[in-house]
Amino acid sequence: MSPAFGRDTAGHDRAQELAAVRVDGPLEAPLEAWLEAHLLTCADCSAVTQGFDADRSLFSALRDTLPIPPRDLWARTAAAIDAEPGGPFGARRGRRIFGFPAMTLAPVAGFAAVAIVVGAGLLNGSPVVPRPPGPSGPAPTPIALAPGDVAVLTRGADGSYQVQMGVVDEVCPLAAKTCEANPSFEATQLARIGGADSVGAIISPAKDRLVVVQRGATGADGVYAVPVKPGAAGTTTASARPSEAPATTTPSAAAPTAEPSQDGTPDASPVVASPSPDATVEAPSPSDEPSGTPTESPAVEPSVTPEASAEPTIEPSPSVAVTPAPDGGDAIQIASDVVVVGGVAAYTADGSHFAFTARPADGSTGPDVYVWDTSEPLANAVTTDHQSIFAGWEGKELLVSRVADGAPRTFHVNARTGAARDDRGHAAWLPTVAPDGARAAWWDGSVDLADDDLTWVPEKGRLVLGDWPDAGGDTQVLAKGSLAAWEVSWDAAGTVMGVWTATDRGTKEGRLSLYPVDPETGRARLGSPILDEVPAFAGFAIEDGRLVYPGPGTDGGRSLWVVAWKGDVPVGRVELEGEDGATVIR
Amino acid sequence: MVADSLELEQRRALPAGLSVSAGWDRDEAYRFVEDLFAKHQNEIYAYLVRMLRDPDLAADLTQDAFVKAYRAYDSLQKPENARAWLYQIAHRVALDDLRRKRIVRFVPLVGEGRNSAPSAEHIAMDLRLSGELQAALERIPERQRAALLLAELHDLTGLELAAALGVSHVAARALLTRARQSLREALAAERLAVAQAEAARDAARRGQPRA
Repeated sequence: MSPAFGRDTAGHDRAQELAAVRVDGPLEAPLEAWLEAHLLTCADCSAVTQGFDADRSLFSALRDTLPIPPRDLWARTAAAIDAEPGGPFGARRGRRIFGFPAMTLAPVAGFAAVAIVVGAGLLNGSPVVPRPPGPSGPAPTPIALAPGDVAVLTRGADGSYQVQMGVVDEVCPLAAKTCEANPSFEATQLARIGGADSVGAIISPAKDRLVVVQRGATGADGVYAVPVKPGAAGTTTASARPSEAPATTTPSAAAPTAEPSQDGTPDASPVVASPSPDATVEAPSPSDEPSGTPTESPAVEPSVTPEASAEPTIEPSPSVAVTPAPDGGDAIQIASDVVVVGGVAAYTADGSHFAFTARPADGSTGPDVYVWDTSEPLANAVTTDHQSIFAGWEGKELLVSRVADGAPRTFHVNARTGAARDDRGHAAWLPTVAPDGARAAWWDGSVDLADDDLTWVPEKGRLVLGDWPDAGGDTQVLAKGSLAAWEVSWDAAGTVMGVWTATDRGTKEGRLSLYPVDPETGRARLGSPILDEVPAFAGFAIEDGRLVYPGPGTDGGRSLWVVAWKGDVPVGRVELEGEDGATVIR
Repeated sequence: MVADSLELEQRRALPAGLSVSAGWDRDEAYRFVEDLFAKHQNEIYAYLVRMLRDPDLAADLTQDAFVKAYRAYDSLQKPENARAWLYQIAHRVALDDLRRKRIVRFVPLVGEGRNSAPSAEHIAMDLRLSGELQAALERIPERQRAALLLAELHDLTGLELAAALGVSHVAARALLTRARQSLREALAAERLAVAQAEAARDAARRGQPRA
């Protein structure tokens, strides 16, 4: 201890206190005079006084080194504010999700970030547009991006659905509440199908075919393959710009022929699946009661002409780049009288096969995995145990989750014969495999029979990220506790991963986070999220610094949000205006 | 719950000029916090790093502070008080966390200024000085530490310091005085401890028994 302290002398203590006070401001004249007089006679107190000045100089070393906050701090903060109850977005929670409540169709392997929005009443068939700027406040400059496609399935006023596609090439600064962004979203009608209110859809890797699942009034699903021919290049490039191509259709019986899919553009990434472990498809609410019938073939009668090729560059005005098949390629019904369950459905990377899980509509048995060879007219059940759930593709093999010996397991299954390659399988439920095939996210825990006594729901456990196919290693916990549903998806390069979880089986509203992925280890950087638990509904797509997800809209209802980032930092977002009932799938 | 208690405390101990208004526009609050963040995020983050010695935790708590500012938007009537008001929130967030976790980990702060490139000598000197200072700061009570940091590194005026600390001007100054005295003692104790440690190392190197 300094010799200056511990002296029980009132005069010295007072002097040292006054010396400390004087550091922060002048003393009153009498006190100042008294102090100066005391310091002249007290070497210790004088030393203490000088020490106060010396102490202040120590702070200069710290002053020169200002800690720099993380670059994504505002993104995190804004997301947290967004999530506030009654906050800008939080006030509109709890709205019922339209579509297949328990069905989140999987993204396709190698599938570019094309989001298919399915929604009754969504825009009533009019093009999706960016939400206009708010009524007040400055309008920050939007941020230009490399254009990216957003394909949209909307429902027209006549109850039919139309595929539209647009380009989002601008976003607003993430911190902005108002923005003049014009993401050049020009919708184009590509095809038209009639049907029910509830629809899910997945596009093939070549973007030439949709698989559409419709829920009819009886609760049974119809599964349709709907040709959607892109430009001559066979793929829809990011710079492709749709143009007006008005199509008027008259519902008619679909031709019972299947058009073989075009060659896909397979990515190195095998499967990106999006399990929604709520294996039971919930019945639509009365307000969402579909009007179609499950076995009615949708009518597809495109009336636009094809473009010679997709434009390689952005054009200032809309141009036809994606068109329906000129021959009016019809939809085919590949499955009927079933109820699609399990939450995951996906094409293989080459687009040659499509798999999903379904059970008989009459509930006579549990679920089996169906595979549709796109050169065939019908999908076939490849499992027969009535307790199999499709989790995704791994190359040409199916990943099938089933309860074996009372425990949830996942097996590699031959897509043609249904035979399991591994006897015991892996201790994982509904794994979603990363693009490099070396990592996967899965439910690590128990499952329980769902209310229908035919399918399963997660019970106790956690959602983890770990090594694959070992289903182990140094796992990271993505979520734990009671999960009603989840989705995990990576971008094609595996540089980021999105994790959506929902705990409320009723509302289907959940939280979406986007994490950078360590390229060396494949581990998610959970402590440095690009987006951290923003309110979102099921069904998001990621690609090339762009995330598309459905979430609460700024003025109520549901909107489609497009978020862009660079590196680990979000740079902006834009809200595509929709109406209640929008559901995003891929 | 921290958030609730903070809001209650703010309502109980609002600095002069601050009051609670009925109802508030959430969009307006959002824009306000957005602007506040742009202006003050660096200093708030720096304050929390200095208080907590943990950059990651400081980032989390900076986020918390701005979220709480959003919640408590209606408690601020005078925009000119926003900085002190924000510091008050950050200060309470830091104290809440410190009290909850009793952080004792010591992490030198020098070198965290990623954009600066001081010389090796400068770094060495800063490390010694800042290490000594920070070790001493660790030894003094949290409220005193906060007062010193806010006054010395964040340049809060007397009134701002009082607002940030949630006390009267007189009390703030008294706290600062006590803090300076405490720091003086703590620095002496720290230097003594360092000297003793060095002496022990020297003795060990020489192979001599320790005194």
